Amino acid sequence: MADNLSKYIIEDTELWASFKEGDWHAYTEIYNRHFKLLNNYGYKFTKDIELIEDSVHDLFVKLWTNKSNLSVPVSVKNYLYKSLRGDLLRKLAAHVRFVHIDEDHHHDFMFELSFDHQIVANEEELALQKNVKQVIQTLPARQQEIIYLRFYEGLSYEEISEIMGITVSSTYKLLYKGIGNLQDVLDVSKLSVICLLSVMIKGAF
Amino acid sequence: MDFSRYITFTYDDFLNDDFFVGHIVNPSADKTKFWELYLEHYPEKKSTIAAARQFIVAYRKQDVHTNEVHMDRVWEKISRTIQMEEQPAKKNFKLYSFLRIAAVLFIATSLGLGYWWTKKDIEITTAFGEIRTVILPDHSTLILNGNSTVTYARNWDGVKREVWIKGEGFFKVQHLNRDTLHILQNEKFVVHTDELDIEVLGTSFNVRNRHHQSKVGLLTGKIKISYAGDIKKQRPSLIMAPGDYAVQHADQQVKVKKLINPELLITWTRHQLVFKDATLEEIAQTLQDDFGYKVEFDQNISVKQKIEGEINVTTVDELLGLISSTLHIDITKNVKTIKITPQ
Repeated sequence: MADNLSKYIIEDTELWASFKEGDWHAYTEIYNRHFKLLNNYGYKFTKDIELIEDSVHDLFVKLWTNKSNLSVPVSVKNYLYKSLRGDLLRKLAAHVRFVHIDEDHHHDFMFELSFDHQIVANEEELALQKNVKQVIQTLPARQQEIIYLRFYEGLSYEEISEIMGITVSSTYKLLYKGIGNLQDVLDVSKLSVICLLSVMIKGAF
Repeated sequence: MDFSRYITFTYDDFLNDDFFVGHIVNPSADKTKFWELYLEHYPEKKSTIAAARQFIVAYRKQDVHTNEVHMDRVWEKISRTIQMEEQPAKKNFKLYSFLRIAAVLFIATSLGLGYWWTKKDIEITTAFGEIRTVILPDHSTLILNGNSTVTYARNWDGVKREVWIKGEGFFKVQHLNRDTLHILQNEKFVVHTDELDIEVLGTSFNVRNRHHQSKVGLLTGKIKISYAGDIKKQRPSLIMAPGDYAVQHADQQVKVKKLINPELLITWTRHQLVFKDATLEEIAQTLQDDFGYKVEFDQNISVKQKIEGEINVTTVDELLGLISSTLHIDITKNVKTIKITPQ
């Protein structure tokens, strides 16, 4: 779904192929391109920055050590997301004494985002943002994560299911549940029709 | 444009639709056009689309936590961990080299002077700017470039053909093996640089081993490259095909690329100075390495500036004259020193 309009001359997959052969510069560039993204994603699972850094560290060391056994992923970013997610959740689970296993054999985790530091254009936008925040925060962690990967990262159902380790049909169901009551709660009828926000948010990167 | 799919769409449907979401997350001219046209045809959908879009846009205005300040620090930690993990392997290399030398010395000294004399390796060193053809014991030829050293056993009867090289050399190796699928030990031909072992079967290739870096360009035939001292084969070997060019740095693995003109690598053997799109820096390096010149640059000269196109000359004076007129710089040559200054 995401067009992957690359702003780089050399594609991630090209870098990956070089890094696999032992190219240290390609490996460094992969790190440089993804460090911020990975930290931002990790911060949704925990506010413990050191733990996120540990996961990033372990992930990259493992990549270099195993480089000759790796294949070239379709999306380097998605691959890194999936790996970081797995490692971070494992580390978090180790901190918890009692682990709750749900029907998909995943540990409970938290997924949180905040809207505290955003500059808002007007009253209406502020109200909308407050509503969005309220609705999202009541949703279970996995639904929140799916919404994040879909509407913030722009990933397809297949890509999301791959990263989260669930089936594509589960992804559909969870997303549907997540946005199910959005329309009512956000009081769509009161929103101004003309107010199409012209400022496109292209993400922080 | 086909809008049929979207005629009965609800708010939820739009949020569930890849194309719609993609249009907001990754906008493009085409997509915008599609949706503008859609609204022209179905203006009743305006509020629904606006609401769906508004949710996504509002959602995307969330706080971002990139931890950018720690990016370098974490990288240093990663580098250190990797270095520490690779240390033990390096230690093994050094140990093996030591053992190998110790073994040779032991055999040499224990068998008496006479035998030692006939067993002594041949070592040939060229002066700066000298190009020498060496005929090896199996009648393979080696053209040795200036400021280079080659070492090999005097006699190759019944033993593996081995050569050690520092500097640059162009090898033309005789085929000895009868069966390409089963090559016997003494049919192999191995060239050793500081960092690599190059195993060949009958072929022509160029080896450049300078500044702790080995570069191998294959012209014809087939060669296999492995890492010096890696007896346990912990790092995978590389098979090269004609036109392949392998570069290796002291700490890193080999990186192979394809050369469009591999024959440019060996123009030096014909006493030709050939450069293609070379920087001043690269040319100076060759003058230094192969000819022993000391090149001094005025601080106002950028060493990274390139001479586009191909240079093909036979003397150093010609080369300097060409550079001088092309880049509009002054070059003076005094015995073994070359000074480069602005005009």
